Amino acid sequence: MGLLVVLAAVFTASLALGAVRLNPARALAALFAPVDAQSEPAAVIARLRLARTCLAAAVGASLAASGAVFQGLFRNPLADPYVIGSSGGSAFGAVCAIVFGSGIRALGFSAIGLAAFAGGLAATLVVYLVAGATRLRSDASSLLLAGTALGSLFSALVSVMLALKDQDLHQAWFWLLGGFSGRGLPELAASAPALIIGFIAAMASSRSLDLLSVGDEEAASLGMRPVRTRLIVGGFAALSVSAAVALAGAIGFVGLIAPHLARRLVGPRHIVLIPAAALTGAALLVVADTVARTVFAPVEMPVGAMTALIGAPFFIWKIARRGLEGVR
Amino acid sequence: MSIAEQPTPSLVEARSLCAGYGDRIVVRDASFRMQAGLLLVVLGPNGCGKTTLLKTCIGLLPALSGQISLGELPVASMDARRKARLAAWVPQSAEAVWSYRSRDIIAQGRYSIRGPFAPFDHADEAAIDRAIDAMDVRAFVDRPISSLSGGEARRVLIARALAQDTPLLVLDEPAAHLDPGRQMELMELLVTLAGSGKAVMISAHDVNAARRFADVALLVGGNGASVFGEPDDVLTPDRLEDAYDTHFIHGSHVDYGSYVLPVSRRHRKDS
Repeated sequence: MGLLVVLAAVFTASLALGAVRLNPARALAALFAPVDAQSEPAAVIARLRLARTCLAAAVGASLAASGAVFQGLFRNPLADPYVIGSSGGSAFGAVCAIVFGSGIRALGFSAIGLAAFAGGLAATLVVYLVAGATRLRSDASSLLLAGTALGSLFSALVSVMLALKDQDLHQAWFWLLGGFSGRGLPELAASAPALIIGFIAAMASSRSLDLLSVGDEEAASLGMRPVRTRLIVGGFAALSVSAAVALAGAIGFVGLIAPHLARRLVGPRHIVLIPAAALTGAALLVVADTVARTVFAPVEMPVGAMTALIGAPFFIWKIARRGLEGVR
Repeated sequence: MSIAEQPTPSLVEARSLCAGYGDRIVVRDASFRMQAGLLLVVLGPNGCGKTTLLKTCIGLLPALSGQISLGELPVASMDARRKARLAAWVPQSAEAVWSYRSRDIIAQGRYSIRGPFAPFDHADEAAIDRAIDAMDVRAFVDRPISSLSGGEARRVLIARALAQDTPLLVLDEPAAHLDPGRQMELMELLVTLAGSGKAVMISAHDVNAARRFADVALLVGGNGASVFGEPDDVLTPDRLEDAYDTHFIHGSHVDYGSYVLPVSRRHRKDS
């Protein structure tokens, strides 16, 4: 409940703040005023900001909910939405699209977005195949190992491609850091199905995620199939993460810390943790985006850098105060 | 023991069962069967494979060879949920990450019945409540399981197994690290559970407790061979000396009956 209030507050603040400053009440009123030729600039600005804020909230919610899912799947507080290769694959896909430049647009997405989405899903598939082939003792560690190794492989490929085609460096660099400029409601609408399916799947798997907390063997003794569950639930989460990355680039940190903050507020049960993490992530990313476009306005900072800039000190302060047990 | 004479359906039956990991066999050629209402204690030296055998019996590990049946059906043919509706597993310690409350852990026992999606109904809540009362853990159901003592956490895990509502309970060294009073309390509880119609299988190190409380015993030797039968027949001085490579003395007490005490390590003969 408190989280909803916080989210509403940061939402309104983000509408009011920007290169042109609006009074919060006026920004809200402008939203609901009819748009026509005579409408004041405030209405236009508020509408643009609303689209962008919705985008930030949706991406933050998706990354945070997926982060909670992956931490649960791997029983690991350091897992984030990208552990099974989604970000490396997406970055590779996006950089391919930038370097080999194509103007194709489909479903409201640019070629970069589509390539990032496809790359994220493809990387997850490759990670699954590699993990299946390694036959480590534990399915969880082989997935983590394959995810980490392939993530490094993809980022190496990205570096090689950018070194060869350095005229694309600037565009690629900004994409890789993540951000919302130039994206709006059409892109959000196009990726909404994947984000919504991902969230529903996360909520539906909450009891299974609770069961996985006791370890694979005990979970099996309680009647579930941990390996199969991890693949299915992880697959849905990867779908949602790939859509989020296609929208806004691989924004870091939100997916790692939002679940921890939410766990502190509502406890570890995934049925409440996942929605709480989603709200926390949405609020965090709206704040980060507002800061990114206001502090050095009109120059815009990459949101991905802002999340870590705000998030890291806050997270360290929390850990220092309560110990790691506090966030587990 | 008149039960053994009736043709009661067996709940667990092992025929020439070999248990282990990969190509390393730890328990070889174990054969035994047990019915509802019995307490079976598995004994043997450290590392002889008691835990491995128990896990193999309920399908947490695949049998290397031989046959194991639960409720007269081969375990190998069952899916996870079916196995979990026949047998509940109580590990030695709770290993949940995050700070789940004890009540959440106990509620996990209903997964095999309710599945991953369906909401809990009155029957589930009632079973959880019964389990909480049976194990006397109501005082700490709202505390994180990670904050409990080892003995308290084990009672929570047994409560979860009771909530699972299975005909068979399998406990891995449930008496480990308990003080003598808690040990007796636990053994009496297990006898009560068996008396209520469940089959109970445990691994343990206390030979005297096994002779006193168990209906049947399985003694696994250091070489992986095993003997099964009534405790007094299985836990004989000679067999104990061989299994543990240790000298025992035997005595008897008017109230307690016969008992054994380990005295000194026997030096292994060259074999």
